[in-house]
Formats: sequence, structure tokens, C-alpha cells
Amino acid sequence: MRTKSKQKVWKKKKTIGDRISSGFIGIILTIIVIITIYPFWHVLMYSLSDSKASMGGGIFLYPRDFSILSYQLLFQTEQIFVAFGNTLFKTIFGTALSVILTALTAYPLSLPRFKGRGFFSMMIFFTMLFSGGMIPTYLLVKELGLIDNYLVYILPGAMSAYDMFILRNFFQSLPPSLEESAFLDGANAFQIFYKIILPLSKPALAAVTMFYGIGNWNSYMDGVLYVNKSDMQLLQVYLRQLITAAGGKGALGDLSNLGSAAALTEDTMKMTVIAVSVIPVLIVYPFLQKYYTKGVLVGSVKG
Amino acid sequence: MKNVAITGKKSWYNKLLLEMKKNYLLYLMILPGILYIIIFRYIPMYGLTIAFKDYKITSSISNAPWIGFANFIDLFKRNAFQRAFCNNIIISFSKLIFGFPAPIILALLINEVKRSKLKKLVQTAVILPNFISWIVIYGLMTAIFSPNTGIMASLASLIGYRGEVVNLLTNKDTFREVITISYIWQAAGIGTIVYLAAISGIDTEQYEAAALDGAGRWRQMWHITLASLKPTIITLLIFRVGGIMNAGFDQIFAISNDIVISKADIISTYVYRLGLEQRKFGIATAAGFLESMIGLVLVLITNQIARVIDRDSAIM
Amino acid sequence: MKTMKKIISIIIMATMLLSLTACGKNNGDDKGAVKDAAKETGKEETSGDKGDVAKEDTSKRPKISILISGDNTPKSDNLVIQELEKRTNTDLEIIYVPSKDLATKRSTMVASGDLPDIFLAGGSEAQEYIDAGLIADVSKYLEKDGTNIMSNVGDIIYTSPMNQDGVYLIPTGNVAYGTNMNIRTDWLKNLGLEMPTDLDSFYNVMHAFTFDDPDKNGKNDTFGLAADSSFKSFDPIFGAYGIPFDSAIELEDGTVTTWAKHKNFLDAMTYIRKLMNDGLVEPEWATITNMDMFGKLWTGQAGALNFQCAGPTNNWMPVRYTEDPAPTFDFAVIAGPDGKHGVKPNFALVTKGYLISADCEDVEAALRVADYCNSEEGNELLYFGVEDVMFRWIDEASGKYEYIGEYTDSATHRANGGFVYAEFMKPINNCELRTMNEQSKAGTQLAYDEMLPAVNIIRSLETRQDYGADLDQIIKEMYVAIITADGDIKAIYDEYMKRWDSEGGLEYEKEATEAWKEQNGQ
Repeated sequence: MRTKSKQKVWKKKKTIGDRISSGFIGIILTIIVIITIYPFWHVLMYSLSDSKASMGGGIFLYPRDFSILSYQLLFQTEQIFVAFGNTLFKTIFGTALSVILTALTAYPLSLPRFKGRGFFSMMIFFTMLFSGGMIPTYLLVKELGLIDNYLVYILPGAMSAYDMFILRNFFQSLPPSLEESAFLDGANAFQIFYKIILPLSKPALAAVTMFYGIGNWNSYMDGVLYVNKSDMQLLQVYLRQLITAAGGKGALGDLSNLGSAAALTEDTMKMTVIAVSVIPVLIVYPFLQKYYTKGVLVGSVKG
Repeated sequence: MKNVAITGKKSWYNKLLLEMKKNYLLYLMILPGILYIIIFRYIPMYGLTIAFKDYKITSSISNAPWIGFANFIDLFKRNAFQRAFCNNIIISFSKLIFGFPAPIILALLINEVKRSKLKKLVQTAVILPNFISWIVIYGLMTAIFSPNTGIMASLASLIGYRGEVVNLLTNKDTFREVITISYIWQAAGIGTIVYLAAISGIDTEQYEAAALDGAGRWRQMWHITLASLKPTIITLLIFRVGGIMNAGFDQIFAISNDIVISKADIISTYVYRLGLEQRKFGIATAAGFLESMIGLVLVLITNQIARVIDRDSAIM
Repeated sequence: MKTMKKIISIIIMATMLLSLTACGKNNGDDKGAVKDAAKETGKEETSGDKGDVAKEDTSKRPKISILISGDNTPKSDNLVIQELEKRTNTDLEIIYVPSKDLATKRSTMVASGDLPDIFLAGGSEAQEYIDAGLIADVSKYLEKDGTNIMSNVGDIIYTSPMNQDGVYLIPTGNVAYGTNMNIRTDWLKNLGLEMPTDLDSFYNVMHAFTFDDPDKNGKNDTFGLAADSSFKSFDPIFGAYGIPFDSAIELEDGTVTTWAKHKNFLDAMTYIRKLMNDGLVEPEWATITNMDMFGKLWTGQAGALNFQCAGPTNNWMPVRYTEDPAPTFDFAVIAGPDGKHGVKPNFALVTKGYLISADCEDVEAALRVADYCNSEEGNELLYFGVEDVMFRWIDEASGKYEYIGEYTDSATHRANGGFVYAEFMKPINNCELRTMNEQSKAGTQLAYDEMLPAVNIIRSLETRQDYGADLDQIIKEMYVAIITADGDIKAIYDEYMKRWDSEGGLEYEKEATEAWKEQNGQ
């Protein structure tokens, strides 16, 4: 509420210079919107075109010979629902665990009074530079009994150092007076964290949730290396196999018997898969976006 | 690694115990994260020794014989590696210099927009390229730059240009610029979101106070927004410097070709080519180790500088 | 809000517990022990339950795991695998990975000591596994359980350097398709031209395809040859100069070296440059993707493509061409200046094939499965699915068949295991060959007959392993540099070949020459 009234104050003060710069920024951003949205639009339109019509390439502003054959093929088999379920599991539980773990780790590291802060920060940062590599990680996962175990979709990638530091920085940017006054009121560290810090950190939590969510949704190698059963297949593994099947070897193999599906080219399939992969993000993103609004901190300091 | 040395001085140990007792909740909170880091990140790190060993996957890593720096020497004596190493440094630095400020500028611009529809649209639009794989981006690039069927060529002929259209994808002299610009286009969105989140955390009362003092829009942007972003900028810069040798395997693998490869081949694409048929784990690990070490050295330098600028935002 | 809190705290507790137990497990921290421990846990896991497939028998059936790569998405428990289990009396666990990840998956499995019972590997990698004692010797079972294998690859199985003191590697035996120069006969007819027979007439046909409106649509929208940056696009051109591309060749003085050192190499390059510079070839050959290159053929922009004929004349035909009627093709044999012609040779690989793990509990049963899949009947099962359920022969002799019931839908067919495992233990006379149309059968045969002689060194060369990737890259860069050069191509060639010599090429020549002499009993 307060922000709105404040904006009014600014509006009154708008000078001509401000107006010009606003217009200028508007134009720049519109251009940016066009060059960043067009490729996705291209992908979407291509996926809705008939393969034969799109083979010529070029620019797609609208579908050529509208066709949803590729989407039909995508959802034709039951396997996609199995794979989708697994990825959904990984995205929901993996992301939830990651965000909790990351926030719990980031909070103590954001407090200057926390002894060992430097050591732990360094220790975590170091893992951004050096990693053991694929084979030792596989051996570890196997020894922990995680092969063909759903926990393998959650545990090995549970925390990213990058996101941890993003969150820690945000916690640090909050006024220290908040924590101090709550401390004097007798709240313990966990209460302060849970009742004061977290609610104020929604923008950063939203960003970190999105990063983890995207990472989980797009994860591929976990599904190839750590899992042998096809009941545990991940969506991206399924989708990529579908793309390759539409091209390369498939083109030489059994295509004559594929009926209409054979007319689908690898490219159309690829575009469809990208479109399908991005759609959930486009659905979830606006919900997270509303936390990026200014003014979460207004009043909290005084109050 | 896990047990903090118990044999230290007693007073020091007591102090630690006292501190742990006082702030036990904080230590309890950080425990799962630290355990995670130790188990899933530090335990596998013994694998780095492969860089100094003659490792075959049929035997265990600890049993593989030590061979000192032989893997590194093997890499550096190859002309193609030397070429990749130089390219890697040039491409990395140009991505850092031109790519790093891009999301900051973008976030500041987005923050200046008051019309919320445009704002939301831009916020969504900038992250979209991040979802499109480099293989598809490459397809789009050919659709744009192709001298025969591309948009550039059609536009050129539309305005009456009859000369030869340069194919940017096969032009050695400008290919690194193509790499840098397409990288910025693809990756700037994610950084923008981090900065936007940080901007949301700025106390709006600061703006009010500044406005009352008569500070204009640009001065507010400079003195409040950018100043508040400083810790985030420094942290992200340190990360970027740490990963500097990571010059973008997926991108270069997808968009380079044999004509421009002498300017575009980087360490990771080179190692991929080496290992594809030969499974040289030692050499691949050595190359990765080298990249990490360079990152580490640069990070230590940057961190030292960051400490001078802003103590809090330095990592260490 | 309260439930939210509860959930969160439960998750937190679970995480802590989990990480604690995980940590406890690791306390030993003896890295050497990791592998052995991994082996043991692996065994425990494999004896797990499988589910509801034929309850009584499965317990007695030996359990066999097979690592197969491919790019389809079958259900985990499908008709084809059930039928294969029944016919071979085994309980199969198929580990199905995307083709491009096969090597990675295999490496991690080997490193953790948890090999699948049957898997594909080759070259120095396979040799390493055999030397380490990871692979079972199947020689004593071959006679009884390997009859199909012996009839397929019996003549080469013992020539493999890996099978000197037993039989460890079952070679695939298949020779990859040679290539044909596929030329559009309908365009030739439109222009009143004959099928080209030599380099000059080939040039003329490509020229006419580009400038004389071969599709008679009044537009200048065609060109001659669809090509990309691979040497394969010009296979028969190199062949006309007697050069087998990408192969080792023997020079007159007995030195074994790269094909790029063939005395006619620059002549071939001059001819290719002429085709390119005169605009008769795909202008974006350097950057075009595989699929886009095919697209130029499918959309009627290009009139020729050098490729396995099974593509243009067989399977692409009915569906991918945009023209009506669809184009027709035939194969050109292009003779060079001294009347020679040919294409790059492919050899039956004796160093790549299927291996059975020494850890396999029932090697005999594993061999039985492999052998069955190597039979024509077994390949039919893997390729078409279950006979009379999924497909039916119309005329088996000429390779005519049809899918039946719901399996006429390819997605259902593949989800139930049809076609997806067809590469596994594929016999030489496999379903793909058997069902080709007459023209493609003839084309495939023609390509085999056209294969040029080349040096085929069986044992793996150390210098090849060390420098192979670098050396191949130098030749690729030399090739594009010559094509795109304005000036003296001889100078460019010399410069790159000097690099080739100094970056390991000379050492390779020495080793290859010796190995070749040794192989020929000199």
C-alpha cells in the first residue's frame, strides 16, 4: 500500500528529461523483448508446422501448413507419462529439499557473529572450482545404495554453491537491526530465521527456487547414469531419445512402415520438445515473478 | 577431513565448545548443508588424483600408478592443445568483459520501467533464450546469417545491396565476436533475475529520502540501486572469474565448424575430441584440473581486490 | 500454515538423518575398498525381484542383464522381451541407454565393477577389459550354444587379436554400407541427359542440374550435389582418383600412411574445388547440418547425394519427399582419368563386438540369448516383434511383410519393443537387408563391389591412440582450407602435411608400416 502512494509522489516530480529517458528505456526493452521472444516463437511455430513445409527453413512468424502431428506422437505412448511423473517428482521434492537445505546453510553464513563463517564459506566455494569427476561420483552414489533408488533424484544435487551464495548475500543485505531487535525480544536463531528472515527474502527465495526448479526439470545425466530401469526414466531422457529416433538412424531404418509419423523430421520433433519443456516454466514463472516487486522491506524496519 | 583436530590447544578447544553451546542452533542449521558438501562434493574429490595417475577404469583409482605431471606434459606438447588453450583464454575474457555487465545493465533498465505489463513481459522474455539448446540456436543463426536464404541476405537485397553478403558463421575473423554476442544473448537473462531479486531487497525508504533531497532518477539509480547491488555484483564476479576457463562447451560444440575451428576450439572441445575414441581419463582430468587451478588463482586475486572494496561481499 | 510447518520439519529431519547415516557408512574412507564393496552391493541388488512375469518359471530362469543402446522409448516390460525370455528360457534385464551415452554408461559400470552380463565394446577398450580378466571365455560353449554365431562370424572370430587364447569377443560381423552416388533420373530425363559415367559427364550433369532448370518450373532454384563438410559427400570423386578416404593406404615404397598422402589427392581436390567454385554444390556445405542436407534432396532443390542408397531409394521415398510424383534415383559409377572407380571400403570389424562379463552367473545362458538374437528368427523378433501378434509375412522370400492390429501404429509397435533392440547381435542377413526393395538391394551390392582396396590393420596401434584425433583434425582442416582458398593449394597442402608429419604422423607411419608387414607375414 505504502509503495503505491510513494509512486504517486515520484510521478508528480517527473521532468521532461525523465519522460525522454523513460521512452528511451521503453524502446530498448521492447527491442530486447523482440530479440529474446522471437526465437521461442520460432520454435513454437515450427513445432506447429507440417514437417514437409518447414524443411525449407527460414523465418517462422506463423505455422506453415498447421499440424500437431508431432505433439500427438509425443503423447502417444504411456512411457511419456511415466517419465513425466519421475521428472515431476524430482522437480517438486528435489527443489523443495534444495531450497530448504540452501536457506538453512546460507543463514548462519550471513551472520557476522557466526564463528567459522569464513571457513565454511571457503569450504563451499571451493566445490565450485573443483569437482571429483564423473567416475568417483558414480562410485559414491553406488556405494550409498542410490542406484535405481528414487533418492538419487534428490540427494546428489541437493545444494548448489552458486545458489547458496546468492541467498547468503541477500540475507546479508537485510538490515542487521532486524535480527538484533528480535534477539533482544528473546527469539532464538531458528525463530528469527523462520519468522523474520525468510518472509523478507521472498524475492531471493523465488529466484533460487526457480533456478533449482529449472535444473531439476532439465536434468538428464542423472537419469542416464544412476538409473537402469526404464520405469525410472526422466522426461528429458525420453524426449531426447524421441528426437534422435525421428532423425539419424531412424531415417535409415524402419521409416517406410511408420506411416504418417515418418514424415516428422528430427527438427520438428526437436522444436516440439523444446516447446513442451518450456511451457511449465512459463506457467510457474509468473507466480514467482510477483515476489520481485519492490517494497518488501517497507515498514518492517520501523515496525 | 571431517573431525576437526581434537588435539589442538585446550583453551582453543574450550572456546570452540563454548561458542558451539551458545550458538548451537546455528550450527545445527548449517550441519545438513555441510554434511552434504562433505559427502557429495569432497569425498569424490580423490578422483582429482587421476590427473597425476595412469588410470585405467579396470583398476581402482587408488591402485593406479602415480606418474607425476606426465598427463599435463602430454597435453601441452600437443600443438592443438596449445591453440585451444590460447583460444580458451581469449574467448573467456571477452565473455567476461562484455558478458558480465550485460545483466546488470538489463536489470537496471527493467527496474526503471514503471509500466508493469512491459516489465513483466521483459522479465519473462529475457529468460527464454536460456531454454533453447545451442543446437537449435545454431539453426536459428543459419536462418539469419545464411548468405543465400538468411534474413540478413534478404534485407540486404531489399535495400538494393548487390554485393557479397559475408557468412558470419564461416568467417574466421569475426567468429569470436559471434561467440561472445550469442553467449550474451543466451545467458544474460539468468543473471538479470539474480540482480532483480537483489534490487527487490532494497529498502524503498532510501529512494524516498533521496527523492526528497532532490536526487533525480539517474542519481538514484547510481547512488542507491547500483550501490546496493555492489555485494551481489562482487560475488557474481568472483564466481565468474572462478569459472573463467569454462568457455562454453555446448555453445562452441554446436556452432563451430572446420573453417573457424582454429579460432574457436577451446580446451573442453579439444579434450572431448581426444577422449571420444580414446578414453583418456587421465588427460581429461588433467585438463579439468588445470582449468580449476587457473580459476582458483584468479579468484584469490579478485577476492583480495574485493576485500578492499567491500569486506562483506568477499567470499573469504 | 501449520501443516506446512510440519511438512517442512519432517523433511528437514529426514534429510539430517539421511545425511548422518550416509556419513556413517563412509567413515572407513578407504578408497581402495570402494570398488570391492561396490561389487558386493551390486550382486545383492541383481537378485532382487522382477515382478509379475510368469510367476513359476522366472525363479528358475537364469537372470541375464544386457546393456543396449538406442534411441527409442520402449516400455520396461514389453512383448518382445517377454517373448525373448520365453524362447531363450532366461530372465532378462535390459539396460537401455541413449546411443550417445553408451560409452559413458559403460565406463561408469566398469569402473564400479558392476558390468552388465552382455555388452558391446571394441578396440583398445575391449582389450583392456579382457586383459583385466573382466570378460568370460566362451570358447567351450560356442560349439553347442553358439551355432548361429559360428555360421555368421565363424570365419573371422579367431582372426580377432583379442581371441588368441580363448574366445572373448564376438565380432559383429556386419560390414557397414558402402555409399552410392544417387542421381535423380527424372531430372536426367527432363534434360535429355545420360547417367554420368566419368568425371567430365558428372560435371556436365551437375552443371545442367544447376543452370538448365531440371524440374522445369521456370525458376532458377536448383543445384547439383547436396553435400556437407564430411568427405563422404565426395566419396566416389576420391574413388575415381583411386583414393579411399579416411583409410590407411600403402604407398609405392611400402609405407603405410594416411589417404591424404595419395599421389592423386591434389588432383581430386582440384576437381572438387571446381564443382564448388562453379556453384554446382550446396553453397553452405561447411555449416549445413546432416538433416538440412537431406532436406535439400527431400524438397527437390538438389539432384544428387552421395549416401547409403538405403536412404534415397528405399525408406525415405514414400513419405519425406515434398514433390509429387516423388523423385526417382539411380546410381552413378564415376570413372577417373585412368578409368578407375570405387568408394571407401568398409571392413568387417574383428575388434568390435559383444562381450560377456566374467561375473555373469550363467555364461552359457548369456551366450544362448546372444546366439538366438544372432539367428534370423531372433532378429525377426527384435526387428518386427512377435510374429502373428505384431506382424505377419506376406511374402517372406522377397521380404514383404505387414504390421497387424494396433501395431500398425509405429509408436505402439516400438513401445512394445518392436524394432528398438534390432541392432543387438544383428546377423549378417538381417531384416533390414532382407526387406529392402530390389533397387536398394542392387545398390547395396553395387557399393560393396565398388569398395577400393585399402590397408586394414587389425591390431590397435599405439600411435593411432595417442595422435589419431589430432591427425584426423589436421586433415579435416586442410580439406576445408584447400576448398576455401583463393591461391596456391599446393602450398596449403604442404603446410598442413608438414604439421601432420611433425605432430605424430611420422611415428604413426612407422608403426603402421611395421604392423601391416607383420600382418601380411613379412
